Amino acid sequence: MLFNSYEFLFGFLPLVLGVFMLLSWRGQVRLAAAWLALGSVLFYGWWSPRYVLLLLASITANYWLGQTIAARVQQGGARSARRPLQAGIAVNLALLCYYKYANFFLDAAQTLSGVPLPAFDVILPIGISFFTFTQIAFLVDCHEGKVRESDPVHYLLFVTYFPHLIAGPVLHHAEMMPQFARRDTYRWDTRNVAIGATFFAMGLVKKVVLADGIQPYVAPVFDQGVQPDLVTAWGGALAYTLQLYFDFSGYSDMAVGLSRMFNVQLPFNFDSPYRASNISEFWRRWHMTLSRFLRDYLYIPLGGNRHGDLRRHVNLMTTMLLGGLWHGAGWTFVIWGGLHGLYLVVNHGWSAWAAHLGWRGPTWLTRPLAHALTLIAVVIAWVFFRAHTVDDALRVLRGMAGGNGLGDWNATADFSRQWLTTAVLGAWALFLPNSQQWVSRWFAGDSSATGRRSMQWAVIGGTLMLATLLVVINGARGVSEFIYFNF
Amino acid sequence: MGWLLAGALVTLLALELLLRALPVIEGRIRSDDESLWPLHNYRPNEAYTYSLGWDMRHPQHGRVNNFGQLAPFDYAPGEARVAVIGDSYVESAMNLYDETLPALLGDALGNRRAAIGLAGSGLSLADYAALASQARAELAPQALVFVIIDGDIAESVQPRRGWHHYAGAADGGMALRMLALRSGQDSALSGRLAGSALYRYLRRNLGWSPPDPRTWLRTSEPAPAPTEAERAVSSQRQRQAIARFVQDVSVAAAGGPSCVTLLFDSDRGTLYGAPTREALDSPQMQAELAAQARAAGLQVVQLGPHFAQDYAQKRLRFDHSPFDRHWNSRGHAVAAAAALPSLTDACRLAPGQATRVPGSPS
Repeated sequence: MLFNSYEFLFGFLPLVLGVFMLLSWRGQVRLAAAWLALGSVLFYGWWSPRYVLLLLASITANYWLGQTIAARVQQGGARSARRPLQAGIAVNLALLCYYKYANFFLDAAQTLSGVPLPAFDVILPIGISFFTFTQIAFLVDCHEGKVRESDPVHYLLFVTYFPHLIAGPVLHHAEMMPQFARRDTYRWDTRNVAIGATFFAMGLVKKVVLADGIQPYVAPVFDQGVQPDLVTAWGGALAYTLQLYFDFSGYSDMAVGLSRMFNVQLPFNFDSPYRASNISEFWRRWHMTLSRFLRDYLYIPLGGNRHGDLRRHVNLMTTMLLGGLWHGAGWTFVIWGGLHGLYLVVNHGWSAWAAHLGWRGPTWLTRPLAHALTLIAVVIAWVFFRAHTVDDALRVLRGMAGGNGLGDWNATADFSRQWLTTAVLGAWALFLPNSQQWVSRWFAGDSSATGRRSMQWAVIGGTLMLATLLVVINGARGVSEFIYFNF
Repeated sequence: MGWLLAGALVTLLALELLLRALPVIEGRIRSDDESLWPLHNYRPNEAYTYSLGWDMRHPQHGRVNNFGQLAPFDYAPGEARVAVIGDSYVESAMNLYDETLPALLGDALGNRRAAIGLAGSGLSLADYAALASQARAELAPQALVFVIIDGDIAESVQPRRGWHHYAGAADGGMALRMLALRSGQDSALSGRLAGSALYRYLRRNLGWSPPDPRTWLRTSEPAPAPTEAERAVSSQRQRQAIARFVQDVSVAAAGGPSCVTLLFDSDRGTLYGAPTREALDSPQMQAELAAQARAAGLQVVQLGPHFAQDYAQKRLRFDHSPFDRHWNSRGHAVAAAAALPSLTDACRLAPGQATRVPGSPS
């Protein structure tokens, strides 16, 4: 079930939200939490009922392990808690490897050894990367004594919570469990529903109008095996750069908005990433919850920057390579991660060198250059992220380098439309405030127009009407999944 | 509750105003009297706006003429020497009229009105035959040019509401049939709603109809592939339809069979490196149509080599986009250049020649 489908907007959401609020109003807080968890499991089961058992088994096992680890740590046996922690991480990774990476590793082994190996006939359970890593983080935090809440219903809700279950944001239990335990969560709050509906509508606009609007210019370059000329190749790569941003940030806005309707705040995932003027800044603005996860649970445990420059660079490369592999079992993702690792190493090296020479940060003159350089580096890496094979990526990059000629800059209607669309979406991504900036302006304090309850109801009515039209547009065009559902 | 409704209504109004400023589809309503359809295609003498899909691509504004066809001038009996017959490729609502095949042929013959387009979206061979017969009775063109697109043959034997088709006749051959589109008068409500840009956007740009909740729980099963026997029957029916079509159109041009030209479109995407498209009409059926047409003395022009040659020289594409394969202005120009010799050489139409055909209605 997609957020942009009829069945979600007119069936699932009103039912789950309505019963949740009804139970909350009657003071049956625990039942309301259980209902939300049940709804979330149903939401997952709508996609594939057979993987519901896998999800529930994973949750049960991790919850039990977490309790075991936390109990041992509390009894002063951090060392004795290490074994269940290691076992938990191993089982989680084994599950992920089986479903996501088994064929990739077999394929690599076959290529290296030349020995024919059988392939596994498995379908990737949707959201497995998200719920696996969320729970690994939970186990690690149990071991470090950071876990305070142990309610099984809230844990079930934390993992399955439908706004984030399929494609994030990647949540941390410390920011979610207290919200599920808080009494204030279980009440009707018109302001939160209005804010949530606004986020949801903005996310729908990003997905249905912007991402799906530019999407048709991507596939002809990447998927049809053509040798694109320079103009066509850059057109396709830029179109994908914008499609991915509006698709994923649109999904994240919808997730944040839906959750807000239930009085639960999710962390933001994007902060205008294409405005970054260096690659470190880009990663502080792009898929922020994954960056946070990789930093806290991979980069820092690997040693971070605590053991000298060389080790820091190795840690950066390792983190980004694994981050690439997290997105998918393919060499294109490994190369994408490796490129970003390399960019980060170069960025840190450059910063150190500039500091050594006494240069200050970018000036008004060099900032646009740094911005352009960062953007070009990101676009080049996206080519690997989008391409199905390394050969496809190299074919597109060859076109971008002018290896197939410059191309015809002929102003046919569709050609002009593509570049106009690219320019408009590019300007949107670069210069307009992002969703959280819009919302914080509109809903700034009780003295604003939207501080009045009447206006909040009007906002809900307006966004409902807009969302209806957008869902109709989406339905009329056929199913349009979110890109990050693949990961 | 009042504020909720007020918010919804204000948004509705804002959407209506926004869409009124955008090229939402308007006009081009099927003629009320279907007895002379598709020659009298739309309600005559009305302005129209064309655009494609949810994002309103290729917007064009124009006027439906007295015959219910898209042309900036009225048609008069005996005035046009050439009638170009086809589906949406010929109707060409997504292009400026000046850039269409009929306009270019008319210009080449020395008079814009020497060639006219007779077309409708979704037509097939069966509709073309009906159209040619109606055109002979009312307009008496000396020459006919048919634009044959992939799917025209297969669709000609499928009964579709609102279109002609070939069906088995008592004598074992094929007869032309039509299933009327309308079962009665349009309701006053739908007429009023058509005044709303939002309604037209939903119904015509999006092709929206209210969702059926029963389908939410149903998983769609792909239709089973036809068996060998079914395929053989279908091929036989298509062959019979082709024979009947050739027979019908051979006598439809006042200038005789040599003044009837079939222009065959091609899979242009392969020129630009796109994979070959799976054709709705098999190459065998297309070849059968071309062979039977030649045998009956009609002119056959394959556009494939013309597109290839032009693309090799100019590197300009012939379609609007990978998702809208209708010819753009370049495609129409190549088609016109390819069709012209069949009119001037085989049919002996000279530029600037008087157009009145003896015995034609006046």
